[in-house]
Parts: sequence; structure tokens; C-alpha cells
Amino acid sequence: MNFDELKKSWQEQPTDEDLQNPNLKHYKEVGNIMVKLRRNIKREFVSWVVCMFFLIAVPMLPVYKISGYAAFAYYFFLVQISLSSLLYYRRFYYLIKSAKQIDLLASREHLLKLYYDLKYAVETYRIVAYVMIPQGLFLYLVMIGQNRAIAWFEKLYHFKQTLQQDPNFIAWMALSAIVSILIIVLITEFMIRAYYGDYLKQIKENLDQMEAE
Amino acid sequence: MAHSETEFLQLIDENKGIIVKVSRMYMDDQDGRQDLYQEIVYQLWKSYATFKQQSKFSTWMYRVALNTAMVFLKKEKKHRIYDSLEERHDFAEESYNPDRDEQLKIFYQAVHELNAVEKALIFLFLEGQSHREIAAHLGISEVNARVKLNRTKERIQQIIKKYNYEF
Repeated sequence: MNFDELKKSWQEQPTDEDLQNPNLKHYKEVGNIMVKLRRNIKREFVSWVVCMFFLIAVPMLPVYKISGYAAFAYYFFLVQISLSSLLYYRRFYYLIKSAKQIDLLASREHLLKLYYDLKYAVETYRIVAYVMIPQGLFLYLVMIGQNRAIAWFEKLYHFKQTLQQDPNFIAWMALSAIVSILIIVLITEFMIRAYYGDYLKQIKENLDQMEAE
Repeated sequence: MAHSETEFLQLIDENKGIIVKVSRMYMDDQDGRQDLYQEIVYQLWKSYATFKQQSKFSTWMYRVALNTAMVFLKKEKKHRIYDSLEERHDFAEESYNPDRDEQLKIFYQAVHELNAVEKALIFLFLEGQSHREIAAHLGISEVNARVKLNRTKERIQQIIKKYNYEF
């Protein structure tokens, strides 16, 4: 065997073979989407922290005049809301952590897992937001009711009596509740769409293209 | 960061041949070659920050590419049952088929029967590296590199003879 001849053939062999993974473009795109998502999650988390500090401070502010049972109930629901929020932030945290590893973005299977993890996190976000609507309404009521909050709850507790004596109050409460729920639903859906939904859609498009190719 | 990324990609492009040849040496099917190629580029990028320009980029690249390929091959062996020799012939023809050079084709088939270190030895030899350079890349002594390389050459000749082929 002539190794010199082999060496010559070796040096002359064509190396223009394209060994780049055809899915590389999609991996890169999903990587970019994850960078944007990470930024949105961080941004939202910071807003959440600021919001929580504000809500904690509310009963202490003289303008709101929240004290006694109202203050106790207020903090009780606030703790409930914040703990529930941690549920989806925990999901987002693991999602961000796993997406930081480049090698986990380099196969369709991993991208599929990432997609469903994100979908799951977003659904958790939606469920928590909806489940916490009554608590949120309560906080809102205490805040705007100021020192009248206890009296309002008394009236609501004696619903039949109030309906006969002060139907306007019930109508006002019902209307406020409906409008508030609508606003919360709209804001939640808008936030999900703007912050996560569109990116979720883009990842899905990449996955579909990869499958088609 | 963007500047170093552009610089890195340019260097990869200039030395792409090394990665392609290492991938051909270590993987006998197209998917495996693509995965190894990607893994080598990824490992190069990961350690690019530590690349001190005391040596040539290609020298550093040889080292990273071969180490990656050796580890990759080990992992791959765990995952797949090797196909029969005949099936490997088919693979070679289906994916990389240097019709212009029958000799090289047979050589690649034979190389796939070597172990990871033997592949590295023969690869560096064909790349024109001296015994000293081979020894430095593989972390062995120069004498050891010479002995091992001669044994590897003999082994290749035997494998090729097994195919009823001689050159």
C-alpha cells in the first residue's frame, strides 16, 4: 500500500460537502425567540415584584384607610395571590434555565419539549390569573372602599335585605364585578398574547417547517 | 461578542475541511457526520474564549475536533449497534461517494474499523503532521506515536486486504 499516494488523494479530496444540519436555521430562530421570551419573563417578574411591594404598602398608606378585619383579610388574599403567582414563575424559571443550554435547542425532540413546556407554563399562568379573580376583586374592593369596605361586606353578606333596601348598591356591585372581570380577562389574554402567545406560535411554525422539510 | 462570533465563523469557514474530514473519519453515515460536525463546531465555539492565539487556529482545531470526535464516537457506540460490513458499504455509497477516487473510498471503509485513537493517528498522518506534532496532539511520546502509527498503517493494510483490494 502506497501511503504517499493515499496522502495525495487525501489532500485532494473535495471538502465542500455541506454537513451543516439543515435544521440549524430553525434552531437559531428558536434560540432568538427564547432570548426575547427570557427578556419578557424578566420584565414581567420585575413588574410583579414592584406591584407586590405597592400592594403590601397599600393598607399602610393613609389615603386608603384600611384597618382592622379588612386589613387582615386584605393581606390574607394578597399572600394567596403571590403564592399562586409563584407557581407559574417557577415554571418559567425552569424553562429559561433549560433554554440557556444551547445543546438542548439542537434537536427537534428538544424543541418539541420546549414548546410544550412553554405552553404548559402559559396555561398555568392563565389558570392562576382566572382562579385568582375573586381574590383580586376583593383586594380592589378593599382598596377603593377605604374605611367603608367592612360596611360593604356587611351589605353583601345580607344580600336579600340589601336588595330590598338598597338595590342600587347591588346593581353597582354586580356591574363593577362584571366590568372588572371583563377587564381582567382582557388584560390577561392581551398579556399572554403579547408576552408569550406570539412566540409560542413562532416556535410551532418552526417545528412545523422542520417536519415538512 | 458579535465581532468574535463573526471572526469565529470566518475561521470555521476557512478550516471547514478539517471538520469535514474528521467527521468522515469517525462517522460512516450522513446523519452521524452531520451530528458530529455540529458537535465539533459547538465544542469549538464553547472553548473559543479560551483559545489563546499562541498556536495556529488550525492546530487548536485539530485538537478540539479529534477530542470531540473520540468522545462522540464512544457515546455513539453506546447508542447504536454497528451494522454489518456490507451495510456500511451501502452507507458509504449512499452518503459520501468519491467516485473520482476509488482508493479513498476503500480507505474510508477500512478506517471505520479502527478504534478512535487509531483514527486520530492516521488522520493526523494524512494531514501531514509530523510524529512530534501527532504526539503533542494525542498527549503521547514521539516514539509511542511512531510505533502506534506504524501499527495502525499495518492494520489498515490488513483490513483492505480483507476486502480483496490492494493499492
